[in-house]
Amino acid sequence: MTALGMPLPLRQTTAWGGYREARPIPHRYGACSGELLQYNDSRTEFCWADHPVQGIDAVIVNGQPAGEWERRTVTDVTGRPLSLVVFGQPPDEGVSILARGRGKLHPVTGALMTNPADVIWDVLANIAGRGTPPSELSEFRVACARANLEVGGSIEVADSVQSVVRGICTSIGATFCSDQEGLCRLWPGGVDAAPRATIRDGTAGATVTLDDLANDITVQFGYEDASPRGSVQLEAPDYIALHGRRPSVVEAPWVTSARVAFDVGQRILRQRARPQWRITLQTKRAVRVGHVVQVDHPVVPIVGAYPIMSRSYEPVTGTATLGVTAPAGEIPVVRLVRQSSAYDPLQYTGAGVATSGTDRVITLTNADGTPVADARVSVRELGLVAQSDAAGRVVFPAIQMPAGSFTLDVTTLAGDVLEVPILIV
Amino acid sequence: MIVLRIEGNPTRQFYGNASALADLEAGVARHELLVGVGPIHSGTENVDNRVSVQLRNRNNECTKLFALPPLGAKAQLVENGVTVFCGIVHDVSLDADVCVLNLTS
Repeated sequence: MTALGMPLPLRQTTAWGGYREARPIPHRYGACSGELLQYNDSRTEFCWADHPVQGIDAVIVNGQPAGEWERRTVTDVTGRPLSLVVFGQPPDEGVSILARGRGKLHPVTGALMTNPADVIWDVLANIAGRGTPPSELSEFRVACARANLEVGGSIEVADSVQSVVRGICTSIGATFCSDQEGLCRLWPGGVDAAPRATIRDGTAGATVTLDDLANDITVQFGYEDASPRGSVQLEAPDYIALHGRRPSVVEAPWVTSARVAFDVGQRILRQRARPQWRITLQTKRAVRVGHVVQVDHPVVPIVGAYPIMSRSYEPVTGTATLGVTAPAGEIPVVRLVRQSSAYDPLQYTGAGVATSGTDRVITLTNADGTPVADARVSVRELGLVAQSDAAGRVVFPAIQMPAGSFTLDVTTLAGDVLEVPILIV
Repeated sequence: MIVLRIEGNPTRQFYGNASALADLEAGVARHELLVGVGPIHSGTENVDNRVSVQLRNRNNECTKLFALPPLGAKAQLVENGVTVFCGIVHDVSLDADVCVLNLTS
């Protein structure tokens, strides 16, 4: 079992004969991309992941789609299955080589692991060997599924177990604590349970600072080669008027779609646009991190039910000092300011959205950048239907397609059915 | 006599004792809660000039006044009619005895 503060025990490329340099072998989840690592001396075989994957959809050499390659699942000298890309001819020395694809499969269901709870369980149980049962994360799994939260990304560096798990949580607006029932919870904005205790007395304090305020948030997502390929910017105009503009950038390397980035940004903004009282309370009640407490204390300016974010327990006195964060004021109206215009690189089909005069022009592209031509495109929420042209463009009247989040159902000429989320500003 | 004035809706004036009443602006909310004002820090290498102000909170007066904290609001310290500090409210801390406001320029 690996302690939470210890590096995640990723295998190293030194396990193979033909390795180029000592590097951790990545684990990949959901729709993601990442560098290929040399596997054999002749430089025709490169490793993408330290496990079987659902598929590899594109190989990019020096920024251009590579032609002749195939995916293979092989067993290495230690008996471990790997996902390789095999080239007909070795790529030139010194070029950058990366692949886009779909990562690890659930060992029980065989499905692509995209629910954050499944990915975190795999990290804790199967990579770190901590014996975490899947059921321990079941509430978080349900909460993520209900919010339609999906992740994709890679573990390529042997950071600490805690740091990897918290990185996934931070990307989607969630918290992790080993003392927390269920380990993870969506925050801000998760569904809160009934209060375990009401705290009306005892030593208390409250602090609020301008440094915690953020009323203009940009969520960066769709990371490839350590750089974001997409972003959404949201603001809370009423709170900008009240406190001045307070911009903040949220890096969400595990978020792969604008839809999830929008959801994460909206939840964070609804919390952070408002002044956040950081409250400390002392109690002898048996409560843990993640439990909800009703705060109704004369020193504290806010009354309400809030989850415990931290706890320091003193066994001698039986007293716990709790940390709670409570926003002041009304939940803000959130406005989408801007969405990155580039297509989402990690979708198998991406959509660029532009408004031209009175039209919404949506350009559909495949993962390799070629247009999705002659496809039937319907906007699920609005019932609008159109056919894409040879350049992959479909046009809808702006008056029928207001700003908001929509899902395109795309049926290609080949009969493939694709689901493409878009945001209209 | 020193007075803390925080702009907002409503604007509020905080003072220490009745001898400051003559320095207060009429028609603006006034609260006899000012306990102390720390040194006013300034210098060429400081990003912000800053000062800490203590208000009484023994009866939770500030808890009630600052339920919606005036973060970012313009704040001035006026001594005998002269402004000695002008900035914004950066943070507010409350406990059972005092409320501390840190102001920054």
